[in-house]
Amino acid sequence: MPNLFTLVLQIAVILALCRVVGSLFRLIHQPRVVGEMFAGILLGPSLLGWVAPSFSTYLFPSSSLGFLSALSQVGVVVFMFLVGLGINPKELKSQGHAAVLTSHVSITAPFVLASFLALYLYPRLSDDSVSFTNFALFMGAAMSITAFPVLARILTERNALSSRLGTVAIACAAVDDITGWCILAYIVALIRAEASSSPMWMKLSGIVLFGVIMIFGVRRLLRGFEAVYRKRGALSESLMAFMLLLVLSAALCTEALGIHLLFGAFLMGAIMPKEHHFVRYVLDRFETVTVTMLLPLFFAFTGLRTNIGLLRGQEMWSYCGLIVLVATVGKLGGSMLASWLAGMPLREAAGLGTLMNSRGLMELVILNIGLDVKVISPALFSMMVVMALVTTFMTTPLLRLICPLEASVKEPAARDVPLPQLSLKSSNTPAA
Amino acid sequence: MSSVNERFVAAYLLLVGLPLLGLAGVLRTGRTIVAPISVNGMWKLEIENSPLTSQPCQTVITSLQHSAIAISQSGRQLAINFGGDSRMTASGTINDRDLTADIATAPSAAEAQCATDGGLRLAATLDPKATGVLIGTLSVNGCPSCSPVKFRAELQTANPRRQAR
Repeated sequence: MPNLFTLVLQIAVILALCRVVGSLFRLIHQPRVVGEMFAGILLGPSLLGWVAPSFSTYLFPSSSLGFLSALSQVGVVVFMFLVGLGINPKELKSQGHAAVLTSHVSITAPFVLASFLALYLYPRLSDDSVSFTNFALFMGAAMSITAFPVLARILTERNALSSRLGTVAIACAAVDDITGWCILAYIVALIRAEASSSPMWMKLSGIVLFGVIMIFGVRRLLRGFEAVYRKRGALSESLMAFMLLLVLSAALCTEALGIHLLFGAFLMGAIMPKEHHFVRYVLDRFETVTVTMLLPLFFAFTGLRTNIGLLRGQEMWSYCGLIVLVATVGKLGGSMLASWLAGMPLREAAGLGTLMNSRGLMELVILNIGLDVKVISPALFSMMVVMALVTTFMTTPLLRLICPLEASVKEPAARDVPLPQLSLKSSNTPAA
Repeated sequence: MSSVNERFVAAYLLLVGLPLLGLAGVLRTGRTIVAPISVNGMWKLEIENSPLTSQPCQTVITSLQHSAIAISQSGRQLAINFGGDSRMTASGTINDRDLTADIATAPSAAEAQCATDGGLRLAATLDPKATGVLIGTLSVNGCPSCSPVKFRAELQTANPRRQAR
């Protein structure tokens, strides 16, 4: 049984610190979520455990971390459903060749650069229990991801969600995330299948069958939710509970198939109907508790696993710097180059690259999976968390510098505006 | 095919297709790279009986008898914890099969009589004859009269990453 006093105390401390640090980050024009990610790190061994080890042990005894982890994982499952809900790959089609090229290059460039970096880092930060292929593929997937919700939040705050830059960025990020998660699902399936007795082909067949059932079967069923919403303007509590049940069932299926809970939740969100008002309605129902309470727990749990102290000496920090550099060159540079070659003005192309370089909490989700399946070491995990923080933190100031608000080109009114997104605000700040 | 489509296909092949070929090459090359031997996991420490371990400076070593050692590895770097005690931590390295670590300890009352810094040094080698066995010595830093104490540690929990190979 969990010690209820400790658990409630942990939640209270985490929420309080996340609110304070999130508000401080708002003062420097950063999205609140970046501050909350940072607050999580402060609660871990990198700061609290370092300056006040006794208090840290009292507040986060190792016996209590299982409960904190479980709560945070439930939050991430719902969060991934909401991320999937906000993704509409059809938006890419309306953007034409330029967006297709940009999107695919923004995945391949960081992916390939990360695999080159893996050649250097594998003998230095990994061990022989991880195969090079798994290590390199994971590094590639982790570096090619884009923080879809953070990107949407930044664009919303700049009132640029319907600008050309905004629509292309959202469309590219949607494709990036779907591709990134598919690659990650493959890697996790590969690693877990190697450790289990059932053959890989059986696992893959199960995953493909699950995908087919979801896309061609469950998707039709989900249209019923939209039909009821259109008719009544709302969904009953029973229907909302049924929707949540479907999300949890999909999550359990993917876990049982040897990938991860989060893939099922993400896929369920991705195949939900994409009518704007319906999406906004569902987001509003699930968002508050998830973003206000459960995500900060995930940030804290990630922070507790992140130990900057493991980066001892110049050598380790140089690896960390190299990771940040390669991630930025691959994602920012790759997206920028492709969109510029596809005809986007240079300044706007640089803005797009900057937005795509934001990795935020999606990166943290992926890194936690990597640490869970032991494909990355604790020190590499900490370096990648630093990379996620740096690339996310640099997005807003760099975007203001490169692509001032007046430079945003508005899309013609006839174009579809992107779907409503998770606001990630968890504050009184009204969403644009 | 229109000239726009031709340009798109050419750009796509150059910016997407070519890097993917590079990725295939990297994955092929990477298979030959050797990473450090994994010592990740929980180990059980057995200290060899020795009359010297009754010395006050070495009581900390005798207290480690049968204790569990958690090793967390990041490449050659090791973070070691003894018996779940947050005050008994060590940072070390592994070179080929040789493992060394400096252990920070909180001195007990008995050790306070010693003119040492309270720290220990671990030097061990992975037994080439047996899987998951470490053989080595523990010595008290700054205590010339204390002889190193031999120990043997066996891997208790199979490393999931090793299974995942």
